[in-house]
Amino acid sequence: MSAWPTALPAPLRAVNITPGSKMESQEQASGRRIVRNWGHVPPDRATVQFRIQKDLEPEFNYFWHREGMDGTWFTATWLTAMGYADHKARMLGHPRRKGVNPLWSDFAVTLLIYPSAYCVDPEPWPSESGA
Amino acid sequence: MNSWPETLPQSVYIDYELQPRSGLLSSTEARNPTRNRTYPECSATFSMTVSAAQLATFRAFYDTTIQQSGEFSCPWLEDLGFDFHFVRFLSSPSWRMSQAPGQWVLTLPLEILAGAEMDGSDVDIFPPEES
Repeated sequence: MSAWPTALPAPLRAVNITPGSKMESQEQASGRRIVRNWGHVPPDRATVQFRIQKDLEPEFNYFWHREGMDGTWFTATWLTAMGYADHKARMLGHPRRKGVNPLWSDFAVTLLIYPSAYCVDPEPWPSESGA
Repeated sequence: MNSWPETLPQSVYIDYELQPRSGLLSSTEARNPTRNRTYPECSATFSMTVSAAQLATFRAFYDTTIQQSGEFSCPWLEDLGFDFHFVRFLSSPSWRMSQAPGQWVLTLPLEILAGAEMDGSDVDIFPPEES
């Protein structure tokens, strides 16, 4: 259980969302397309951009390395504004640093968004001590 | 058959793009192309601006009513010259935040399929090759 750091900003307005689809389609030799649903609905995928000020970059990087990199689901208040009431998100891939500027940097992040009830945090890496 | 929700935009004044399919077994075959569809389906992409409440309505329609893959009828098809046609999702829809606050731009990749006129005494049926 983790939460988006309160010091970090919400994403910019350039939000693009693709819902998770369980549809499998197959084109027949006759040219007809048959579709069926298979499995459970995967998480929604959202591409967002964060504008991180220079002094907040260490915090963003810390959050990424401690929480984002191992795929931990986190709660965020700005998910509500994107239309998700009881959902969690996690980062997919590595945040791509787009604009570099003395004052701020833009990070393009792909988020997976899933209902909280479905989110399972990854197992911690086993240590020798078992702790 | 399910129909497009009434609270969502019904207008034909939405962005769209139509791409009829070739109806050939292989569209790149140069010498002896084999036709396998007398009336090939038409790929279409429709875009419209919706509010957050309308987006939630669309989400419920997409996930629950048509189960992401069912066919449905659209009110604007007739104005585009597709009488007695219905549509089906080709791939997952997507939406992005609009510049206007609280608005989303919804993009629907659909395929337009031929239906049949079943009412009246003069029943003209133009069925696809199968079904």
